[in-house]
Amino acid sequence: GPREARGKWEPQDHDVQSCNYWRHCSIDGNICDCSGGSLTTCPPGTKLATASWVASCYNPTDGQSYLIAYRDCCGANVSGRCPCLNTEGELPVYRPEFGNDIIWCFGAEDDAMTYHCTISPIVGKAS
Amino acid sequence: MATPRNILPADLARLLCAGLTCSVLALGTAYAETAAAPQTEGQKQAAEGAAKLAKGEDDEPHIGTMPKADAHRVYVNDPAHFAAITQQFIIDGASGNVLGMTDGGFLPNPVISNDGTVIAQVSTVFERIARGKRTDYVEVFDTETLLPSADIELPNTPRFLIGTYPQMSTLTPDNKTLLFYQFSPSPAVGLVDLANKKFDRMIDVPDCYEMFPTANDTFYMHCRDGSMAKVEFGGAEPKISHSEVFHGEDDHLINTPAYSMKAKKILWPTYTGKIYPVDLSGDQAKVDKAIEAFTEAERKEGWAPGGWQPIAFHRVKDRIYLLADKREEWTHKDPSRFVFVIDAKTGERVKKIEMGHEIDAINVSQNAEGTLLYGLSTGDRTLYIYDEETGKEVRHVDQLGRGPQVITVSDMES
Repeated sequence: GPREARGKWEPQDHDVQSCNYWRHCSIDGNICDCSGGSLTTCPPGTKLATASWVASCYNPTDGQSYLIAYRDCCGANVSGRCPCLNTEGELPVYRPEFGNDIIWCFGAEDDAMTYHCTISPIVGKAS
Repeated sequence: MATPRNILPADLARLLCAGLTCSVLALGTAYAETAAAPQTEGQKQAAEGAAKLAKGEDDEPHIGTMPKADAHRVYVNDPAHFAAITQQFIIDGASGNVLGMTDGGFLPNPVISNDGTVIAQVSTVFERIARGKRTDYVEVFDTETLLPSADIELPNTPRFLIGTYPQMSTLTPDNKTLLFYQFSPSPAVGLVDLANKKFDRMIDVPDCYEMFPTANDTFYMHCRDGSMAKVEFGGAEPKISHSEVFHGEDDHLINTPAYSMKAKKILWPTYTGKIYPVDLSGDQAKVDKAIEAFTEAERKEGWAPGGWQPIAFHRVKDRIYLLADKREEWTHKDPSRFVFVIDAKTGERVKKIEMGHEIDAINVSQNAEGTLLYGLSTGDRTLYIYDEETGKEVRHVDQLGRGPQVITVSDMES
């Protein structure tokens, strides 16, 4: 479920459609798995951005932290399903690589720039 | 309004009982007329409608106009959680009435002049709802009719699409130039000539963000290295200079500081509640002694600012309003339930106001007497309005879109 307002981030590893799924520790928007995509794929009809912001998220299962490169699926109106806003390690806009208010649609096919949802792929281990 | 939507029992009684005997409705009449609660707008309209009908006056439907803006005019922008189409609500804070609305595209930036004579936005639309050809444009609204008085296309879709930060689009003091920010492919600021209703040019800038105009040809920005940049664009080439670095790499300055263009002063809080007063009245940005909003003990208890627009500044009263709550680290965008009022001169706390709601954005009317404190709840989609002196909630305006986040006011005081 959604994190309690102002409450501690307590990640879980059993439900990708829940805001407290561990890989969503700095997600802003909507979980793609809730509108026809998956944890790491875009829903049909949308465009996958190449650019991303990142966060280091702790996986409670193996006790490791991983770098998640949040990429947006673009070119469709906001899905409206599974909205989440987490800001673990999230930094202001002058540190854009960690800033999650930005529409990270850069590099999507056909210059799609509208926000539909976000995927949470791992790009490496974090320390 | 020709057709009242909310009809008082009293008026119903008058309407339905004409020529009939109906004691129950008559009882309702008596009750309504002795009720002590002030009339709502709906009740007022119902009474007026009934009175007109009783006098035999005909209804004459027409399109209304906006009253002249005053110090209690407040604008609530709803980015609608990244929806392709958005709204702005124009509200009279004194009565709590919605006076009008404007439609926007994707993540528009509202721009309101300090004298209330310019209502504009920098907006983005697509040919097929959320896909297809993109058009970025500046739209200026007639303040009386709310009809567009200018529609200026921005070449090469330069707008930065981001959650709505007030200082990502702004006006120069003479209201003749609108500035907007470009992030990609490189940092730049676009100039739009509102006086001649045309796009002027893009100015290349360093790795800096947000614009704080101080003169008709000068604005400041905040840079990644922790300095402020001054940009003078009056000449053929922009002149750019930097202040000293004034904050550390781990001292995180929020995205939505308070800026008073009339005072040439930014109040810029960090994640932990340190507030940097940035003075832009000199030759280069000068940062005054930082104010700590919380005591060491309070910080240990978890008190920290949080929300979308968690700081406001009253120029004449020289007061800072900081939206804060007890929170875990890294919950800086979660709403808060308290406003700390701080004397900007001394850094002393004046009072702490309990808002009674989960508030995401605050602002304050700039009149010295009868000042209103605004608290916007994104979750409730409601603007709560407080008496700034007593801290008491006096009214509220609900049904403000899907995820309202930004409150804009004008500073009309001299």
